[in-house]
Amino acid sequence: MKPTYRTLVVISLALGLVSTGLISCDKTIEEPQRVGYAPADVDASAGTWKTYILTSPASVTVASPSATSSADYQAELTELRSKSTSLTPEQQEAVVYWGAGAVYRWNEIARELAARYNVPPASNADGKYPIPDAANPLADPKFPFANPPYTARALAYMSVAQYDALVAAWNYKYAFKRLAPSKVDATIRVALPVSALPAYPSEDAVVAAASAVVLKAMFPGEVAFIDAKVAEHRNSRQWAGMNVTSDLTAGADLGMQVGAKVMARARADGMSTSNNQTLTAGMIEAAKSRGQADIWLSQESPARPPMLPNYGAVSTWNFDRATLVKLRPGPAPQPGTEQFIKELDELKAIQKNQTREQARIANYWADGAGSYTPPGHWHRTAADAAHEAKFSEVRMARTLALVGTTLQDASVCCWETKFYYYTPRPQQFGLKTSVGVPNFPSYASGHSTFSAAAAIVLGTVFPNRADEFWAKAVEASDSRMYGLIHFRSDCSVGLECGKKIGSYAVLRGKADGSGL
Amino acid sequence: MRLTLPIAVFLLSFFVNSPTHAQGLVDGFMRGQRKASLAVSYSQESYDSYYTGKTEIRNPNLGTVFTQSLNLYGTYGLGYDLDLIVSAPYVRTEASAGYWQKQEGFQDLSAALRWEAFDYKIGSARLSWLFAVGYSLPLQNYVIDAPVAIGHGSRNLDGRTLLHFKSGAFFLTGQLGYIRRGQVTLDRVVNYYDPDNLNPNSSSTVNVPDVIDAVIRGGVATKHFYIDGWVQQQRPYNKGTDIAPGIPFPTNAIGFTRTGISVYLPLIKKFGLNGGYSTTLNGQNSGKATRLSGGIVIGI
Repeated sequence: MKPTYRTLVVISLALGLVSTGLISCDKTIEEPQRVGYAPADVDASAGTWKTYILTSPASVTVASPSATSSADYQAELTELRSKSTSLTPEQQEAVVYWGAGAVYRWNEIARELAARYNVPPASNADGKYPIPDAANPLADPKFPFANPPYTARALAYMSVAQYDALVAAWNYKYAFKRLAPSKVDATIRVALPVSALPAYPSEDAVVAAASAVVLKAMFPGEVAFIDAKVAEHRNSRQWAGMNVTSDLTAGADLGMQVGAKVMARARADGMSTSNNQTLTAGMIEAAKSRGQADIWLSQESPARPPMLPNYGAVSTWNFDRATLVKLRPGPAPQPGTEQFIKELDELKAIQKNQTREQARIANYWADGAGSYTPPGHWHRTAADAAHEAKFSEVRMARTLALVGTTLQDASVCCWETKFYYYTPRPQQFGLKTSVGVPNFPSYASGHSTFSAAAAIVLGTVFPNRADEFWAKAVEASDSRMYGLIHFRSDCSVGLECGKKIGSYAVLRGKADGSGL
Repeated sequence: MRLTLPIAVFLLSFFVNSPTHAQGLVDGFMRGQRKASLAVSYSQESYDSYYTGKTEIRNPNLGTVFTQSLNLYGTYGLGYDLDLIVSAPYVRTEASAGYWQKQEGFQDLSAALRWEAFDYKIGSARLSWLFAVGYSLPLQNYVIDAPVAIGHGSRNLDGRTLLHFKSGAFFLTGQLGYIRRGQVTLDRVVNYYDPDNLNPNSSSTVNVPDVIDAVIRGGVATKHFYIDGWVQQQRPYNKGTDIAPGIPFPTNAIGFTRTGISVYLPLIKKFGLNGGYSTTLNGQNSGKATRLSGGIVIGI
């Protein structure tokens, strides 16, 4: 070939390679954005549904709204028209974002906070692990360490506050029957679907305020972040032409009242003593006296005190203390027994030949440090399912409250069991892991307990997806064996307990007046 | 210094730098038309401290991370001024302490075209200007988002230019490259985004920061003997994240400055032995590694 042709060939080869490469090294990531919808059913009778903390909607107050014919309201309409007429791209973005749903977005925000705060304190120069200080939340280590029990509880309280506040809001909405601004005045331009739901008090403002009260208490270092979200949420409702100012003010007031009542329960639920490390010596002695020869030891270097050893004493939602004791499973197989050796051998075989698919499942469900934990994972699953089913705000809140409370019940039961038996992790018998070793006793598996409880509740709320949710729970449970940090008994017993725990939330759900 | 960073064992993550590219896939020496060489080499790399961001730390829950690799490296002269270079490593990596599983498998297949675009004579010396474009992709779906991993799983496009000066036995090569890295899919859903992360969406797909790569290499090359010394610096082009809990390993900004030597001894006609040593001067979200390698080169 002549040199010029060669040069051409070389250049075209190189160009071909570059363009192929650029296509496969593409940097754009396209994700479908969740958007708003008109609910499949506005649940007009939700004002009578059974609440968790409120004794009745009348235990909170909402001022009577001015009539839509009044001068006050007309002035509000004028203000709304000016705010919603032309939007900047940022305002449009906020409208779409919040339009996906108030409960949906606040659940997502809470999960993100949990993930950001799920950071185990590092050891200091003396080989000790400093304890996060609620009075100084942004110091190192940050408060809280949003581990699975902490996150289960924070999300449960927020979901309960949202639900109770929305039930009260629905009650007042149908008492006052104030129309949506665009139905009063057709010239109001709306950016989101408008349902038949009365507008006063605004369900969005109710959810934002109730969520903010709980989240500020749970994540005291994030007050400014949460306030900014509340303000954006509130503004987005006006940019979208959905609410006049008095709808929003009344909603915020109602949400705050309910939030305060819910947090009063939280302050007295026993969480303050959940990290009482002085109890562990007694717990170990008690476990030994029941025949547990090998006890759990921290696998970290330096050894880290166990995660919230007294969390098992925290209040549950859907059953009482006596039931909790009955729900506790019998003891785990003892090291040296035939059953134990069989289960250890099973893990050794997985370690030897772990498939890529097993590793993927272990990683998918790991939800370890820096994640929103397994309770967060199940909240996400629940919120997505409710969104796909086009649930009204109050029905979505009910779903998340049922799932959230059962997840906290599961965390309390599971922790009580773990520190009752104090059993060792497989790593104390020479196994490695692909997902990191949780710093607390092995039996029973938290993932299995959480997942079964949530799947049972979701299977009742979404009966046509029950098999799918249960399959996920089983996969989450198996993932802990694939990850080599739980024995089969930990997992199968965890699933069984979780099922029973979930059934208590299901009983409550069936009797809450929602008609499901 | 003990652990002063907000980390626990779960979070210690590194991108294990591709051992075969620790000194660059491409050098300044053209193969020659229809000539080929095949090298089989073994290397081992270890570090007991690593950089979180640019801060050097040790981790008692990881100990020493030890990586071995077996690499096949072939070159073929498609023309007097055009070479094809191919490499494929098998890598095994494990930590001496803690509880993380070892990882092993075929890493990335790389291929590059090297073109000697210009060739100047300066007295008895020669200066050549070369261009290379390369592409690499994972040979298998290895684990990418773990403290102990064999690679970060992206498909990469590598473009670089080289100036190669040779006078008698002495030579000096400078090269500058840009490596564009494609997005990767994690085994999990990312739970939150660091502001420096490249993807603000909540899913399993994340971007991997591109890097700029510079290498200076000089030494003596004769019929009977070859020795060189080199310095390589890699810097993230996009900002990227730092090692932290919940942050996907592949989105971390990786950088390092390494230096090393390599030797080649022809034994009989078509066979020779090569060897090398390198160490890390500084880094960013990578291990402070030292590396030893040795292998057989067959000329065809």
